[in-house]
Amino acid sequence: MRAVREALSAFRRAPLLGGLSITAIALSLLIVGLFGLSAHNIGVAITDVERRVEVVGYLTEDASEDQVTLARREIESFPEVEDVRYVSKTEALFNASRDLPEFSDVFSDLDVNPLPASLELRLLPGYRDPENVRTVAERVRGYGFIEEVRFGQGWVERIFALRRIAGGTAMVLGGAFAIAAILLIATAVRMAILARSEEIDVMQTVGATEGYIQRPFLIEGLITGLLGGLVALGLTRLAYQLIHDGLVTLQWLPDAWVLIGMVTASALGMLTAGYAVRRELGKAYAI
Amino acid sequence: MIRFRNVTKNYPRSGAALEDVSFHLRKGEFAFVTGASGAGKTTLLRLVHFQTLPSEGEVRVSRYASSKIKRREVPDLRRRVGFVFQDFRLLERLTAAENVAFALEVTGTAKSQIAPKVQRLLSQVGLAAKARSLPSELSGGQRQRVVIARALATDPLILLADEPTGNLDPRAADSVFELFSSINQLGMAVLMATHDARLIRDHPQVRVLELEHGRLVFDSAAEEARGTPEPLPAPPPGPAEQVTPIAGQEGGTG
Repeated sequence: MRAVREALSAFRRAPLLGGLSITAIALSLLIVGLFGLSAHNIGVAITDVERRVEVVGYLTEDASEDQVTLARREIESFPEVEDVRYVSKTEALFNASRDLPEFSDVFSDLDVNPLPASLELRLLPGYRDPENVRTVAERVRGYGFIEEVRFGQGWVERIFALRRIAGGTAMVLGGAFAIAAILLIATAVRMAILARSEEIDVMQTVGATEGYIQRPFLIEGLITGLLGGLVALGLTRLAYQLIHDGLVTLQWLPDAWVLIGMVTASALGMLTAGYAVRRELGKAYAI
Repeated sequence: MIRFRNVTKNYPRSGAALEDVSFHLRKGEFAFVTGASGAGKTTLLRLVHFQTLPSEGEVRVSRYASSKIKRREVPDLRRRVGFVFQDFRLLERLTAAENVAFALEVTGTAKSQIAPKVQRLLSQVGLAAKARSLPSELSGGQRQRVVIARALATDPLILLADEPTGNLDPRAADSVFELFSSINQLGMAVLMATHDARLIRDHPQVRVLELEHGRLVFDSAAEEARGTPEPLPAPPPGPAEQVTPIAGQEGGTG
């Protein structure tokens, strides 16, 4: 209780310093939040595109129904495969007429359906990378009645490159802003320690334990981190609402991300304060 | 109680602050640590208070040894060793009583015991009537008494004082010394750094440890034991501000 009282009184005693610390942390975390929002929506878009990753095996004209049924069962048991759909020649022609209405006259005038039947494979999440797609395609190509396999190798690779770039950028920028937040919290705690240096000096002289001296600063760091995180969350939500209502449809951050962000901000505040205060106080202990 | 065994303290920039210092202060003993500015008096007190550790040798205070003490044990040691500063270091926003109470609060004294103990401590130092005064309303001597009361709050076994009379006029200095003396008579060891030659001269019964350029050049207890109250041999030449020599005075323990 004393530690909480002391931590709160530190904000009362130096509201400007406390406010500046919270603002600085909030701005740092706002950038992390906005980046998180962008990363999340890019991720959603990429996942949506990835869901469309398919391996299509076109059948030879002489493929028998039994052969296809058996192969389909086998392919469905591949660990990478989510489902397999058989598309008959008739369905293929229907789909082509539907998807390419400008050629509907051509399709309706045909005497013989030139389109082959096919097996369309969708892959499970986690197996939609170029390596797995290529592996599955090779296995499907191994069936004698499969004439050709297509899986859009070029764009599958581009999607995954994009995801890697997005992930790497998130790591680097997130890390950079986290470091900035750590430095700000450490500076704020150091200033708070300086503001109370006389009291701390007396406490150390008369034999107060380190834990007793440190606790208010730890709580102050935690409160600073939490308040900074909440302000950043509010500002991120505001930015989201403005973009969502006025520009493009966005998805809000998942609850787990918000929770992790708040816990991380608070923990960051407390750990940074702990490190800073231990470093400052350590000078008087010589050990 | 306090034992220095061949203690050397080097600072990275300024070099040796203490060199090969050995002495033993027993329970209930009173000693002046004297010497010119820069002789190593404050370093010696800081070593006793474990604010710094020796570069060589060993400092032993009560049951703690510098070679073995752990960081978490330092607060306990400091409760056994009261410290009085020349510049008081009172918290200006707190009254005399609150300054003393602060030391009790931060060392975990039960709330119910704080008020009566503060009253007793302020009475002991003769300041019961000034309990509600802010430090700015007190004279130098009175402030120093508050500092002494605060230093006594944790019932220490040893009282360290770094130039406690340095900012006081001779009358206030004598009065503060008398307070230290009375505390010492209750059984508490006192180690007082001072370069006040008059104070030392006026209290020949108090043991004197004289430092010069970080070396212990005179220990009146050792000289008395030897029966030759002369300075230790071959001290290096002192600086211009050397205090009035106290070597040759009568030694003795307090």
